[in-house]
Amino acid sequence: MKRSLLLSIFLVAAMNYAVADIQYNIRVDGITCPFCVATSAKALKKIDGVKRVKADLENGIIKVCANDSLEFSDSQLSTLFIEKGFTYRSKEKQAQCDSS
Amino acid sequence: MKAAIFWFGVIIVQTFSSLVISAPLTFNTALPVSKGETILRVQYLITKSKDDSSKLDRNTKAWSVVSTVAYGLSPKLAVFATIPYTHRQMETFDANRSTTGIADSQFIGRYTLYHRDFQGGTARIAPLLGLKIPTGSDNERDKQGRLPRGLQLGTGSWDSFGGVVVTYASVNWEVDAQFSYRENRQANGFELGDISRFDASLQYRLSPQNLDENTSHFFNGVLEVNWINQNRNTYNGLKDRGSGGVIVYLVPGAQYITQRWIIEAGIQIPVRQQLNDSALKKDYIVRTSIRANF
Repeated sequence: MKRSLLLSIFLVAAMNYAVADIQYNIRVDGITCPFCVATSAKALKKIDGVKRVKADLENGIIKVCANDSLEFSDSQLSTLFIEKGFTYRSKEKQAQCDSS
Repeated sequence: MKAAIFWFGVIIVQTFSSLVISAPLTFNTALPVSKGETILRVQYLITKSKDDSSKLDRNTKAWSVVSTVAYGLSPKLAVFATIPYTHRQMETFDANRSTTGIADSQFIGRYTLYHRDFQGGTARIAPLLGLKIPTGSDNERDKQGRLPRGLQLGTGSWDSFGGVVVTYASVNWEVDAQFSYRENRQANGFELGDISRFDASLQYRLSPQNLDENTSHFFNGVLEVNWINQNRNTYNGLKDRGSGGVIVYLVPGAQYITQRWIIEAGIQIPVRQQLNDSALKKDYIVRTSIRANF
């Protein structure tokens, strides 16, 4: 009984851990169309833990939904976007991903 | 044959393409290329010229499949290779002559010297240097003998050119402009006149009118201008009075852009032709194209 209870608690905790996603709102200058974003999205999706990438073109924001274990550094994002021809400005971490 | 080559290009593009962005119809140097990225553009052109003021009453038609591959060596340096496969045909009052094959190829290096990004936009200035190499034969013949210069697939010469391309793009529209000068050299007694040209392109998003995170297709209206000035050709040291001059084209067109590929079309309409002596006037050039990034 005690063992079953512990196992249940562990499973629930593991499930919560598995579904815990965060969103990075990355401000990038120079993106002018979804297709400009798409080249960067392709590179972002290759990073372990990234689940979805969307873009708010009007405000120049790329939204990356990822496992909460993923940590982006400024230098990592700066390099990635320079190689794609854009300019990384800043990032904000959001506790939950926007609904897809 | 020409249809098979074009559709082969279409199939290749559709099979391997990933993501693409906008650029002009009539010049390749403004194509945005990021580091390690390859762009393939296959264009199909139909050219018609008649309105011959000489006694020959020339009437020329041509089609070309022009393949361009661009590759980003670094975020600033991109290289372009263009190889045309072409068919040229000329009817005169007493003959009908034609030829088909690979024409002269071009290689271009473009370095982005100035690049400023801002929210929802970008501005770039990039000088470019290029080389035209004689991959096309300049000694094509038929049963009547050697074909006239206007029908040859190549000029036989190695020519160099340079220029600058400027881009200003926003979320709603993009403007590209290019100036270039090509110095042509002499080969086998013939020298094509040097060519200076200015090209400008406006691409304006017509649909969708509002953007959201699910926008996946663009439909752009395109308007371009080409100003082309060619000096007189030289044969065995003598200037050909019936060659060269200025042509200005106006190019209305459209682009349909998806996340995997772009198809585009336009027609180059000559609005001004100030040609020397009996130089043949252009009727139009129809240009269709498919493009993708890999």
